Amino acid sequence: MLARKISFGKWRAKPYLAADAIRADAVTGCLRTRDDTLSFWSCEDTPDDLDQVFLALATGSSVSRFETMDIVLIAEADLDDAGVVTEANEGDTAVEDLKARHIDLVYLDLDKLAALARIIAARVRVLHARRTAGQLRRLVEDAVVVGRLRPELLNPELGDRLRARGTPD
Amino acid sequence: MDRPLRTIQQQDIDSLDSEARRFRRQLVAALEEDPIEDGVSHPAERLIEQAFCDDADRARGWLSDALSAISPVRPGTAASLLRCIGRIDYAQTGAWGLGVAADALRHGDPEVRDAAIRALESWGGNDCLVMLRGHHDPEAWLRSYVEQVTLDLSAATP
Repeated sequence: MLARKISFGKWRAKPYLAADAIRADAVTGCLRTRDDTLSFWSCEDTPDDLDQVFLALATGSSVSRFETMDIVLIAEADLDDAGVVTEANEGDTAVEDLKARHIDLVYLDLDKLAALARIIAARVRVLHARRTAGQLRRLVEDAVVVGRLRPELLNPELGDRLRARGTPD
Repeated sequence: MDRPLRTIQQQDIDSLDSEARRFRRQLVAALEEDPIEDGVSHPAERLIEQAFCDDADRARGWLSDALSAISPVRPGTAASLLRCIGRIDYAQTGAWGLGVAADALRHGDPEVRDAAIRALESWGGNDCLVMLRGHHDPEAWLRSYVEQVTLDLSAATP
């Protein structure tokens, strides 16, 4: 399976759109490409493995605070059916052993992006995973305790927040 | 199908003084330019921080006015603004922030209510916990979110 961070609320139906319509905000907000690529993480559909994706995302270089996150899981077979090409690239995470889990969807065009949006919309209706700020903090703390993560590799602001345990994020 | 109003009323913006008008326009432009990304700072935060730095009471007033004007017509933008407000230190938002969150929890759009819950989660503490415990959301995913945040905050609140 492949996981991507999304804003779940943007994938919910709106009264001014048809029930099965995909909101433009969902596409422009959650599927914003760079160089025609989109970032995903490889994982199994189990709570523990989903936690590893959340850990990777929560320790990205631009993440400066613990905040509730949502991810959606999609099947690689669905991407194959849509003709989407994947490429393994090192992920932006401070957890070394998670970097290799990162996958880019590459050479995306409008048709493939629309196909991907339909795949995500169908999946989100069935399942999405959310971890709260508190849960993410615990995942990061645990990774530090077991030696998987060196706090000095975190975004400096996030590192400060990690040290200031018990204060609001 | 219901259609939302598509524009913020021009007369609402015209009624503001020039500084408030500039602040609102810059804020809305920043929020509409870039989506809010979980955990990642947003350019609109700098505008809000500067406004609080210049005059915190005035900033709270400007933000309340902006939310009142934006919420009915652009709930997505209102949710983004709430996300930024939720990132302000609770020492700055205090009772005003709780009022903003309380109003947002009554909003018809789940994205706005989600942003309100996120703000309460970010501020933490007993007042936010009490407000969350009193909120029963019509959406199952938000009820589940409130439940987990309540557990998190209960564990962290003495």
